[in-house]
Amino acid sequence: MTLTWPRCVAAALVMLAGLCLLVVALTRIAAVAVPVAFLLIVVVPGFAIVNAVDPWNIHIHLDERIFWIVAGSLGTTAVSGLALNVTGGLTPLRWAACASVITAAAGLVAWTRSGGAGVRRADLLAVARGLRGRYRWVGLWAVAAALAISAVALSIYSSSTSGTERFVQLFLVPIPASRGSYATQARLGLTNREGSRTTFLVRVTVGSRKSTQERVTLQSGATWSRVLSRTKRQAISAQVLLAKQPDRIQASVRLGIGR
Amino acid sequence: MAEGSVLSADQRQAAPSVQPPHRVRRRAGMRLDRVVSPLSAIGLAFGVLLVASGYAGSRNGSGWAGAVYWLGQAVLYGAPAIALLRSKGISRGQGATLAVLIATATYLINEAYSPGRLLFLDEFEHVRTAEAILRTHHLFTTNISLLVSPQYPGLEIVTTALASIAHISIDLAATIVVGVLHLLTALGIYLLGIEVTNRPRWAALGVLLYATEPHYQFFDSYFIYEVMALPFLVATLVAAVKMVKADTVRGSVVWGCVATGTIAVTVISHHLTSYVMWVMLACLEVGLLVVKRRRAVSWRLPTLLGIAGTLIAVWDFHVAYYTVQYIRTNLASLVLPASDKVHRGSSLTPHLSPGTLLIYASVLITAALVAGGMWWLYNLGYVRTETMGRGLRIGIGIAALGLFPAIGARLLFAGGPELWGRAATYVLIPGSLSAAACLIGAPLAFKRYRQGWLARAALAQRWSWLAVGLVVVVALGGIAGGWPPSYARMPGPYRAEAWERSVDAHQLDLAQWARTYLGSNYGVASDFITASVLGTIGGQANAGNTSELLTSPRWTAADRALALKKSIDLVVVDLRLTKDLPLDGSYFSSTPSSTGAHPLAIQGLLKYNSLAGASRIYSDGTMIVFDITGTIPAHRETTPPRGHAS
Repeated sequence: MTLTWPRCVAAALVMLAGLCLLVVALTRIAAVAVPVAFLLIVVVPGFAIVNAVDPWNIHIHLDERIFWIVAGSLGTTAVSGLALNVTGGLTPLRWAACASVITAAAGLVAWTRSGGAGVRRADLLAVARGLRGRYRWVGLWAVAAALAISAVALSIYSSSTSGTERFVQLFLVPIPASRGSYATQARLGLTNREGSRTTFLVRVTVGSRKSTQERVTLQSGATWSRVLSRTKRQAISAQVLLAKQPDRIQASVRLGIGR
Repeated sequence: MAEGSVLSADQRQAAPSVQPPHRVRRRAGMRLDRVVSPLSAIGLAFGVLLVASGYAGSRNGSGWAGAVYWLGQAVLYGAPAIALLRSKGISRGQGATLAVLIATATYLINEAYSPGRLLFLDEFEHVRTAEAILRTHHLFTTNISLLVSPQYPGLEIVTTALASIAHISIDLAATIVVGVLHLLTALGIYLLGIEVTNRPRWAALGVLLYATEPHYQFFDSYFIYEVMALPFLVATLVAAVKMVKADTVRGSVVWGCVATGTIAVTVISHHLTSYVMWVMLACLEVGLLVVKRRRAVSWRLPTLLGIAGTLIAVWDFHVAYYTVQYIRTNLASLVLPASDKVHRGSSLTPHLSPGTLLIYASVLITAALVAGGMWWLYNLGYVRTETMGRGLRIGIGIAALGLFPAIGARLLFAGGPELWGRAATYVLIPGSLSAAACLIGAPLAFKRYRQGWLARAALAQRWSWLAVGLVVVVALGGIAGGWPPSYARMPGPYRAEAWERSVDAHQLDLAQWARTYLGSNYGVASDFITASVLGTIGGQANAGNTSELLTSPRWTAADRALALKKSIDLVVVDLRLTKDLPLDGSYFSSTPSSTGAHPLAIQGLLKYNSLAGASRIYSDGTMIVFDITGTIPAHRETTPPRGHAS
């Protein structure tokens, strides 16, 4: 059995797909899962298919190769989704397994089609020589990359700081929600969208009872809630104020009485 | 050998010692061309930085933002135009690099508008489909905001696969997937140009001209199902051309199988794109019929056409049965007679602003370039005697003719600008190659008239700079007439009924709250933007045509009857509509009506505060949600059960 260059590539792709499958099965860490997902969805299956079609890199130019690798990966993913839909469902593990099977099948075809002379040292040297001449313009590329990164950073900073709306969400949802004004219980809640840790004053009135006031401190994005009960003839109302601005009602809600 | 032309596979296999052109040492006089790619990259990146600066200034309300934005767009298109039109020639690798750089730069502009966040209403419809897939792990769920979306699941399959494996949000996965598809489309058009013309500079210029189409920077870079189908339409054309040109039966079968695969992906991704794909394949076949070709290859494209037609028929009529209804409804709304409705920005407007003149100039120049380029497609240089390539180029030219009915539609129909933008996405795939032919081939024509008045004016010597100017004008006109509309072109504070400018934290957080605490499919009455957001990512049901519930000053029997008829559970009010006029012309639909002449009266919005049986269940100081089910006891008993809160 001769280990030719295309066979090396096919074997490497199959091992990579297997490793990705293992990662998907064992971990949920985003830093690891994101590149694995990108490889499985955008690179590996298409690479294996292109390698099977043109193992010796004779018929397909590099730019075409890149195009068909990506198109092949996305296309097989799309079509695989239809197959997974009827064979159990679209889950991460099944996705990874499907991509691995496709890669293995294509790798087998590439292996079969690429027997012959062993790995040619001249091939590897030619690749290295081709890359060497491109390092001369690295400085220009670095300038371009720096400009692009600056643009992206400016956009992110500008959109996150300019004109950001600051407000508080106050809600009084019947339990269950479909009961509407006929519900005898309701969930009162508020979510802090002020952008920073904030203290709120929540005033609640149930029917003709005296209002109660509660002090609630929340981190940005956090939600506080509690369940209120009433009889069918009691309306519930609530207002929220900022502790630092107790004279201005920020929002108010009311659960009416059904007709 | 002509500039940058490539060897066939047989030539390379027969003579392995012959270096492929991209490894050929260049002549000394062409050394500058080695920096075409990095210098273009710097120009493109600088253009993106200027546009991003314009966006930042717009968010802060700076007066200079617009000028910087337009300067950035001019640099973005001018830099690669100069590189391509002023250079003597580029290699295949350089051309591919330029194609990818152009696509990257234009996609970065889309992302700079709203980094990592989806804002376009149509995107939310597909997000709802994707969320259903993630939730149920199955396809073909029901999406009441866009019934046809789950039946073309190509985009959502890929996006949910990435989101589920990587454990990231749909928004982030969509950004990655759409970015990759955007690059793929550009590279595919480049490869199509190479296959048809054998000239990298021509093909790369075709990509640049395609990037000037009105929807390229935004609409065709949104998370919508057309964006998945587009690169596979181009891939189908590339594979079909390679199939036709293959010298062996085995080669043609291989490429035929590839084309079948790309056809399948196109068909399951988008209806209209698959129809356009079939028409373009037919155009290629017509082109081949015009020239004499060997009988051995005469079966190839007809076979592919048959396969494509079968797949389209099976999918569109058996699986995606909402397709016909969807296309009929949308086509009717776009081609209504101009006398019935005058859309803001209609090309029939008698008022010619500088922006309108720029749009018209762009369309006219594009038409002239495409028409002029057809002659070059037919008479391409030294390969005039090569019938197969000539037939394919004629086919490309025939497909490019679709540009002219699209221009006619822009002038005649009420939805003309949108029709033109949608059509340009497709007709400029072959059209851009034709236009590139005209820009590159024109100097060759001028040289024939060296003694004529044109040469005396030295126009031929100045042609490259003039061509750069034409490209920039076409690009800027495309942006001016494209998407987003002028009032939403720059990001900034909320504006009423202004598409991307109307989707802000209030809308998005309300939608998230509704999905979390209410469950799904509650009937919603609201303004167009709010109802659309709640009806998609909010998981509710956009009732539509319920403007009376927010405009009548008092709750009447007619309002009650309307709420019952439309199964309205919630009335959602945006208090900003009492101050801000709708930039799209109306508060309650995407077409203008009399309701857009004045801000909404606050009495009409807040009448539910005192309505017996109504509840005010949500407020953030700007958006208020009223539950009106308690006002209509019979309604509560007859409406179907709602989905539960998550």
